[in-house]
Amino acid sequence: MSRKDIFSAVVLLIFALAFGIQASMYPQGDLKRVGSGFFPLVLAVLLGFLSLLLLFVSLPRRQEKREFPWPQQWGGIVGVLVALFAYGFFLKSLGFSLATFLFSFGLLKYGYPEKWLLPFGGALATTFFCLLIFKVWLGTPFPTGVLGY
Amino acid sequence: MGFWENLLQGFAVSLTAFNIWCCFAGVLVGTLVGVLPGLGPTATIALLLPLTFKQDAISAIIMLAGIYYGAQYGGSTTSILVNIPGEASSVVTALDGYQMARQGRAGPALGIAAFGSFIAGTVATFGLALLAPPMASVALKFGPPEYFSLVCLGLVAATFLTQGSMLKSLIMIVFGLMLGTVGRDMVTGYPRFTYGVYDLEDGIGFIPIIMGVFGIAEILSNLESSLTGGKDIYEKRITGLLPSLKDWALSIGPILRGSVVGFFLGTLPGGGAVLASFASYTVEKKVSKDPQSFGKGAIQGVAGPEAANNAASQGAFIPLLTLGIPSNAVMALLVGALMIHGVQPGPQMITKNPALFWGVITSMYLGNILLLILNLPLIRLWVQILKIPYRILFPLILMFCLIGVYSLNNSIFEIYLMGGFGILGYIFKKLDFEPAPMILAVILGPMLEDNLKHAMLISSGDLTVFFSRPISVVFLGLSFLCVLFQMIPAIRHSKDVALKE
Repeated sequence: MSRKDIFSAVVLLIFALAFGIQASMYPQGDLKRVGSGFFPLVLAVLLGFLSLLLLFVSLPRRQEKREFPWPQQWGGIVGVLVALFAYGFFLKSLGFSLATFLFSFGLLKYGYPEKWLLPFGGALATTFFCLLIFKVWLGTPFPTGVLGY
Repeated sequence: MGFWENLLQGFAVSLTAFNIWCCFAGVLVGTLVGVLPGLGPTATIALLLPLTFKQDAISAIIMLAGIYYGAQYGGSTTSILVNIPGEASSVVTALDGYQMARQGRAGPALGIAAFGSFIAGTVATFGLALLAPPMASVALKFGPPEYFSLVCLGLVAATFLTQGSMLKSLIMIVFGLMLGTVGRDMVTGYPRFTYGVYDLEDGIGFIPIIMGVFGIAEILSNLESSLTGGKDIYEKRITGLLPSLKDWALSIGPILRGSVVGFFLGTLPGGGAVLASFASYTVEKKVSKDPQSFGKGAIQGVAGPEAANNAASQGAFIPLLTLGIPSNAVMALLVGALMIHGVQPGPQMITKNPALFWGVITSMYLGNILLLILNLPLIRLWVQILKIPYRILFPLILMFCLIGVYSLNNSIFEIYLMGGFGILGYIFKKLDFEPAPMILAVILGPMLEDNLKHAMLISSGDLTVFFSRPISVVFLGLSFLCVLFQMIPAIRHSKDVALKE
């Protein structure tokens, strides 16, 4: 517990410092006319204080030396995140339908690595369902991309 | 207008064919979400928000509210049949509900949960209709100092609900307030922390944050465990959903007590269905002549908490509808939904939008009737849905998150934002930081800053304005007591035990 708390406290302290420096560059105003930088600066000081407090209460417990909570299985997590950001990145060029199909197919294939038909059918159905709800019913203007829809 | 006239006006709004349909769709989707572990009501409401854009404000809120209390009920089905609570508020139901199912009494357990929820919903609807108007009229007297202090109280009270360290909850609140400062200053128009990114000028939308820290982070956590593992689902035929007379005799007291306890706990800032169900279970165990039977299949242990969590989800509407202050993340989303439809939640809602105000309140009663009609015959369907493997579900959830967040503003940037907050939410989970207080702070942050600036302006920079007005002093005093209480080791310990049990 304490090792990850020390890590959290240090990261938060650095964040508070960076946030505070940036906030101090904005107009501070005075108490009557509070400026745009006043509230963020107060928050940065508050976060810095709370982070120091966390560090202070965590340090005596350092000898507990519990394992740092690294992810147990990196593969799925990294895969999903790559797919998520790739969907955003390729949405415009590929278009809504193709990007949605490829995204769903990739994730279903991850769940069923030995099968082809189920991910293919599932991705087709998902794409059709999403098209029906978001494009036809709600009229959301999605990028059309290479296929033209 | 009197109490009954107001209710009649509300029913005239909620009983139109389209609003009945919206309420039905809401409770159906809510129950489905409650049944499926891994996608809570907060993420679902965020996800389904775009679906309500085409509707008017009343129908949209009726539908979203239906999802909320539908999810409370759906969660109990999984608690009883699989011992996996679909929602945090159904954790307590699993203690005795699952034991009842193992003894072959799944039917009466599910039945009393449905009837208990219905009775609690009825009590809460009347409570809401009785309490909301006087509270709104008191709130009309609030100025910026009172609102500033009230928001402080709401934020500090949110730390009470989280399991574990109060210090970490406070850190999450400050972090959330910091996120709320990104974008143009509402008063001066000065851009803050935008770094030339146009999409950040209006601030970080709370929907990508919610979908990220609740939806995406949950998926990432689940991907750490095996995708092929099965659930031990109750396979026996469920019969006799109607509780016997003996069951009723044992349950009616817990249902009524749970309704009252749940309703009042739901109205507290930072309170909600989780706290209500735990409190009700504790009360029932204390007043029972046979406390040893709890945890071994006592029907009172199902009836009380189920009534309490349903009453609390309705009680939570009081601060939203009367003060414009959301008491939890779901209510915060409803604030967003109201504002998207051009309605400013707050004390003036009752006079400016009486149709919406009373329509939403009465729709909850309608929703409870629909839940009763819907859930008892559909229990077998929910059991089948429980069997859908997670490796099919998670791509669908992810897909809906992606498209849902994109369709809010047709912005690819929001997809990246959601992904970023997904990673952040996952890290928070790993480091034992609960995201709920942060969400509340993101939403209340701009309100806090705005009221601080206005309070300073009207008092010519005199900080004592917060301590010289009685209502403001009461709120600040309560906030201080909230922090102080949690620092007392005995109270902190009992809170941790209650939340961990």
